[in-house]
Amino acid sequence: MALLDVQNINAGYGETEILHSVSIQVNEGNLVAIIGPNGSGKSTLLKVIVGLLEAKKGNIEFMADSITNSSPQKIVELGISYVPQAENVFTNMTIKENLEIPSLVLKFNFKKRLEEILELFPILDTKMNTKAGTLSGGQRQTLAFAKALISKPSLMILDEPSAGLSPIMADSTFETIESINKSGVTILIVEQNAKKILSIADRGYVLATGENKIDDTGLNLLTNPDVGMLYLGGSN
Amino acid sequence: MNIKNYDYFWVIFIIALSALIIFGQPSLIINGLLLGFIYSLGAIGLTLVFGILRFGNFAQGDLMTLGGYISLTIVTVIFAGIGFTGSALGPFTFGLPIVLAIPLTMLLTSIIVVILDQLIYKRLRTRQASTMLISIASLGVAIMIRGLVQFLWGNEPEYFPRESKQFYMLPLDIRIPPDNVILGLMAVLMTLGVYLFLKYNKYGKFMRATANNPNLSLSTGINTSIVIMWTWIISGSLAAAGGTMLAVSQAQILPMTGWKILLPIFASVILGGIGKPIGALVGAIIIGISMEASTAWLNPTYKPAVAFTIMIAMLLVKPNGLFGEKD
Repeated sequence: MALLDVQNINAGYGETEILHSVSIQVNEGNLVAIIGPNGSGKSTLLKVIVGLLEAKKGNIEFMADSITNSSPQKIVELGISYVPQAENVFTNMTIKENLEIPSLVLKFNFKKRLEEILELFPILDTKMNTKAGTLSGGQRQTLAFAKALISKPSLMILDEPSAGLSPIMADSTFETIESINKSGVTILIVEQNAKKILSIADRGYVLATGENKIDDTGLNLLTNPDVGMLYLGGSN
Repeated sequence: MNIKNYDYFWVIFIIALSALIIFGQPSLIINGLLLGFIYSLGAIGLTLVFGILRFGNFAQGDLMTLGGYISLTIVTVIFAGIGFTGSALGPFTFGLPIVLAIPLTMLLTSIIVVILDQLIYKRLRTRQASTMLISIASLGVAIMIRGLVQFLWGNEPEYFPRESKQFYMLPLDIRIPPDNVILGLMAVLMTLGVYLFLKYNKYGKFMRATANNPNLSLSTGINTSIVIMWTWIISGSLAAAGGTMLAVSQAQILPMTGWKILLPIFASVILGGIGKPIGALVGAIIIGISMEASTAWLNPTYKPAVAFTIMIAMLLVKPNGLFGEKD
């Protein structure tokens, strides 16, 4: 049974419908990628899953319970952490305060988890009292991952984590995502850099114009000429 | 905070202050400081509402008026009715009843603003009304509150019970009403309380997070409804305390008292940087001192024009205010 089961979701903004009967499944322990051209509804789908946007039709199940149109608070309490594409840290707060917020929401032992999370992201340790707004793009992304992981989520949802990063930082970000997944955290990720993400993903979904087009294992999608022609600019 | 960005402002301000002291008007600075502290109570509430709810609350001044009248009623009707009148405390013109009325008024006004939010602003937010529309609605609330005040207490000035007391006489011919010292101290303590709440309290941290990024707050699991309620509680209680202190320091209250200081409060918020509580405090102190200091050269009726001029100048030179971040 899938950890996350999104079934035939229709959603959009106001009268404009962006998603048309989109379905995806995420199995426990997997890294599942959603790729597709701009405007295909990838980020919209993530917003519907985490409760930031209402689904007009369809059903979303997490651990076999329906979470369709649940509040973001409820989604977080169930163990889903979401890292938005941009503005994913509180820039007016210090690194320590950013990491503390999830512990105040979910009431877990902050000191204990902080030590554990700093072992994973030691770069943050020396800057705990630095305002997040002064960090570089890569450091912000690291903080956003740490903030999402500190609550020990069952599912981590990432929206284009490599966007705006230098190639070196983007490579480092993909390495981090892979190591987080290998540590046992299930990941659902939307990513523009399709080649990179499909090379490490267990499964991938290709969306276009708000519809499911192709889904397969990451490696199969990488070598699928249809994906190459339509979404990767004609090359594999 | 980039100091270089507003070095020139501080230099001009300090030169103006020094000129006042040299030319023998230091009392104006001291009295302006008190006015600034009282304005800061209204301005911090205004800036918190803007930071969290993203609209300019035009009812903040009239909430201060309402707070003043509620305190007046507690002192002259409820306390006097049960025989609790009390003589003036030490060097001050007012007694214990006014001191005890302030926390009660803060509580009552908080309840009123939370109800107003549920009845009006929450409905507009649910319907995804623009912030401009919500601001206009707050103007309607301001007029409604003023109408209620006029209906309940009339248009004539009302007076808190007071006794005449000597001013403190300090070197350099500085004369300070003792009331101003204690009222200023109370305002500072309240401001400090808000600062500590925002810095260390769980809901204070949630408020800062929500002010910074409402969507990220939601997706992090913060209950923004509770954050909004706390915002109104702090804003309403500070307005109530500020309104009472203003009435006590001016020895009278009128239905237009709060409306008249709405401009200096807005000017303070813009000067300090919209959505920045520390900025609102600093902005209010500068506006208060500048307005009082201007009476050394100008007719006191021009005081609001001074606040307005500072506000316009800041908007032209640094639209994000002294403590505001670049877009």
